[in-house]
Amino acid sequence: MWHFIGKRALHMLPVMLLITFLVYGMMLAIPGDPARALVGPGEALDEEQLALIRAEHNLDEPVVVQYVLWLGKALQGDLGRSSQSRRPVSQELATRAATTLQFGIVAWILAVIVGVPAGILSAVYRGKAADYVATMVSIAGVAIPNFWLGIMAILLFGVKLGWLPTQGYVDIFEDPLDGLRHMILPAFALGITSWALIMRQSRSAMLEVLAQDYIRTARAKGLGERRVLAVHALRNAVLPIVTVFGLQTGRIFAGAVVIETLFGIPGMGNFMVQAVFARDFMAVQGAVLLMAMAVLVANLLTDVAYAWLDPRIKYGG
Amino acid sequence: MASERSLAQRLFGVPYAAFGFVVIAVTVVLSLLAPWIVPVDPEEMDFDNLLSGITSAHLLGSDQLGRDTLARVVYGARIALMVSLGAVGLGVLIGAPLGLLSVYFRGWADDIIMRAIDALVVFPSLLIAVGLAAAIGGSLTTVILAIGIANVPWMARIIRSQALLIRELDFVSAAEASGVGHLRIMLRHILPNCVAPVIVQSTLSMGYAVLTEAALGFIGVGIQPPTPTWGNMLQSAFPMIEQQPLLSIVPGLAIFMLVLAFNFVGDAMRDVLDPRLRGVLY
Amino acid sequence: MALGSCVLACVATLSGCRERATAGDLPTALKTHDSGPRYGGHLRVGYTTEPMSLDAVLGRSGGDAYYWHQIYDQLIDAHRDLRPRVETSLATSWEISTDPNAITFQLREGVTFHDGTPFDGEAVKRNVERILDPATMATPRASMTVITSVDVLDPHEVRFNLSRPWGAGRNMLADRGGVMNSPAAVSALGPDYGWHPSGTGPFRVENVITGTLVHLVRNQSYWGTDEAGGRLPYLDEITIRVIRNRTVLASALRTGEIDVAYLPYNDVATFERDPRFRIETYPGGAVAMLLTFNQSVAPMNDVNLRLAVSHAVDPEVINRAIYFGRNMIADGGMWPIGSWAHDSTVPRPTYDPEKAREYLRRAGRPDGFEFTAVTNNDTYLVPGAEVIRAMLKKVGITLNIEVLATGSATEGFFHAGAYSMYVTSWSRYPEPDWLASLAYKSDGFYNAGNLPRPDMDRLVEAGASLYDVAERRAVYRQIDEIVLGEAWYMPLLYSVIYAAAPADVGNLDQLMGWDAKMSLKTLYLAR
Repeated sequence: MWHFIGKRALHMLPVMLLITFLVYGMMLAIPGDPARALVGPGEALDEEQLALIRAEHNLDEPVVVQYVLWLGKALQGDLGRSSQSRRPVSQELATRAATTLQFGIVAWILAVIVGVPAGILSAVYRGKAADYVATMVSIAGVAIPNFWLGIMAILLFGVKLGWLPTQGYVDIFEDPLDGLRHMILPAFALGITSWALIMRQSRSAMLEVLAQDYIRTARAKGLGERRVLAVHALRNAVLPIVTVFGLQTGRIFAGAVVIETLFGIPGMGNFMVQAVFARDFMAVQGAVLLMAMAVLVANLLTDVAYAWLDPRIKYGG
Repeated sequence: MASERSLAQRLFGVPYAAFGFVVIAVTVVLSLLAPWIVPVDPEEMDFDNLLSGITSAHLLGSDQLGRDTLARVVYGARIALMVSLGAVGLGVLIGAPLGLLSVYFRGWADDIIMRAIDALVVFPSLLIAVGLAAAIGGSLTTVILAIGIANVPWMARIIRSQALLIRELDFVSAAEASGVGHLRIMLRHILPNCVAPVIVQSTLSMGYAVLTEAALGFIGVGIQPPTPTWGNMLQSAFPMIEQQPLLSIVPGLAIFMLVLAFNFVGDAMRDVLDPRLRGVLY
Repeated sequence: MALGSCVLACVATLSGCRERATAGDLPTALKTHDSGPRYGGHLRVGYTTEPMSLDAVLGRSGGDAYYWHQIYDQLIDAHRDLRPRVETSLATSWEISTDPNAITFQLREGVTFHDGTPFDGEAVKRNVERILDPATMATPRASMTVITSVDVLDPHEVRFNLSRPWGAGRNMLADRGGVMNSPAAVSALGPDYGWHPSGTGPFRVENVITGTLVHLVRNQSYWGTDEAGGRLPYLDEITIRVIRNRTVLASALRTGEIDVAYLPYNDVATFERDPRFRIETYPGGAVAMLLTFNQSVAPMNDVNLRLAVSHAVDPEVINRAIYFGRNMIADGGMWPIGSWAHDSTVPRPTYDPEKAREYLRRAGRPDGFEFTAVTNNDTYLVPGAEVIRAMLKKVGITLNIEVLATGSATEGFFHAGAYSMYVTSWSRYPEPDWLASLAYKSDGFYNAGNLPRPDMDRLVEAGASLYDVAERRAVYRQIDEIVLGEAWYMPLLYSVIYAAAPADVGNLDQLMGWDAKMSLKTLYLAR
């Protein structure tokens, strides 16, 4: 097992390197003088000052050299300075990343605790009304724009009914109850696609499991229906959750950019959007890099979880 | 593969697929004929009817500046289709050759291409679009480019996995043995057999492209106003959500319907064209 | 720079209290219908913009004032009509000398900074020197360079030695330039000081969560008192929460998540109908929308085209469509209404499409032309620019719009010369010289294009030097004649700011001061 993890992690290194190159490459797309873009607006710069910036970011070197020097700094956690706040980008990202992580995890947990039981029930009551409703919801959940669902939720629960807060963020570790109250609507909107996919996957996995011999044997042995479901079925239904996790991490981050903006959650996504409007290039670059790395790590976790859960995958592979 | 006629019949035989086809067809017709169907200029401001509900002057209401919502939704459909076709087309054009090459040459070429694909796959289209918007600003080109690039790795992977299977089939080995050139084998034997999964994936990706364009417009880093796009409409409608919720509802429903249609058609095509893929894609 | 970024932030929060009927009276601290101010409580404020810095001297966003007003006092505070307000100032009196040019201040005794160090003449000297040091990059530096040196005559007496008469000085010291930071804390904390400021004000900073909130607690040893002699402030705690989206801001106020906010215009009517809330208005709290032109970039280097555009835009329609008719059509220049500088008798372009066509003909462009303007990424300005685009189209002018964040738009318009027109908004800056020396003077930071205009420079210098208000007024009228007649800065709408709070928030009428930003010193909670 450890051998497998080590091998997968090693395999990840060249990919990681490529990712950093792609992120750095964004800068090459800037039209005109990148030195101007790097310091951001609000500074009236003369040629001398621009030359200093070029030297600081090695912009006069060949692209490959620029990249290697940048990578060296990035590896030490130096992602440059935000042109808006003049604080180090890594420092700006640290607080926001924690928020996005917390938010993403709540969305994910919500998706699992709603999606898995719904999928299982829908399989158990196959062809009944409950199954029908669950299937409809899972189809709609994939096609609905998550931010539009958020807008509609704000309209209904915030504006019309006034039941739930529609904006802002309270740290769950500081005030769990209030934190969750603030998180419900955005997490629901962010997680809807994952929720629909988990429901769909658990349903089909469950149907497959229910048809298998050992469940029939277990039933025949007189185990209670609930125990049969709990013991055998559930264990086998974990795989779909892992699958969806692997597929959805990237989209959860992408979704967070929009949902954080909509609900005013001060996470990485919100930060990125503000940075785009402020032409704060270093900040955007840092945020994109961090998110891409997070997706990569999530993919690794998915692979490992797969290998661990599914005996058919050999660790040596 | 089934004959054309029976394929169409089988596709339309699935009720939800028929719904999907109809929605897509209507969207295409509306956007092609927009200037004739909707005689109102989507930028025309009717200052005597601001934020109107459903009236005879404005069948789907008007926005804060008195612009006709129906006209803007129809013109927005144009953008949505342009983005989804452009982005998916770009993804196929770049992704398909990459996938084929990696299969055909195996070894280190395959390794390099697949590592690049692995790297690219961690960037969701929205993230690429935000990065590009920071570098060069948001526009129709940026949006298509961003979503297109994000589609590349998925297309390449699908082609690769399909081509891997086909490569090992007897008729390909036979062709290889009889001295048929590499290019010819790829174009004549492997590529045609990859068409089905690519069409399926493309259809599903088009739905996702519509969603992404809308999200970008909503956060304001996509196609810039006053171009009527569904995302831009939702952005300017949000502050007015209490005064005129209709403004937020209509474009959202349009997005929802079109994405649903693409998904239905994609699902149906998968079932009909390539049942093996069931449950593999998204 | 200071100004640029401010522009947007401020307007975001248009709000304001009613102008007092008689300009001269003291603030009515205790309303008779209230049971009297109560001590204690935690006031939650919602605001659209996070601070760029809590150090008033370094912050560059107009929105910073919502934070620093709670943390600092100024050397000379001002009423809304620009009269000095001694009872809330750190200086208890001052004497002006014209030979040599100097102002001598008597300082309030017994005042300490939040870090416990005393406020005295030495502190004032070090504060002014810090602002004047170019390395500090202080925002108010440009308005203070008239000070050549500061002499400490006595622990509580200082003299500012001036290079020329400084009629604008009193009001300048009511703004960032007159704010007093603890010199000890500034040197001890260095670059971190911006988030751990130490002022003399009614509240001190307890905690800052970036992008989310600023938590302030009562300064237990604050020097200020209310009219009855009670210690200020009343509140124990304040949280200022950043809520960028105005719709969400209003809904947070309605659901009781926050206690005070400036309302978005589309929500004013709902709150007026809601008996749970009280609303205070502040006419002229900002310039809601204005056009400004770069006079050295084509096509707007042609005065006829500037005037054509100015005549083609109908502010009344913009007010109706964007602001729900809540703002006021601009009838003068940029000077804040309600102050002595504002003059509505200066001739200025008004909506008249025929005249617009006439100016197009004069410019030799009878069939119109095409150009690009920049605007801020703001829920009012973007649709506003779209309406302007539609209006210009009617006289044959094609306007392309580019949307940027305020800072980027400021840079792109004022410095890079990338656009020839800017659709923006402007904070209420009471002292006219503040705007005049930055926006009208040839070398001003907000003078796009920096076209040399010796005539204007002479007027601006005269306005800043004169001590007599009537004489200053005459100068600023002359300035307005040029600015409006040649379309430099063309205000379209003046803001009316609406602040709302539940009925148990006391002294709401004292919320908005001279700059229309929030000041929470005398607010209290009756719950």
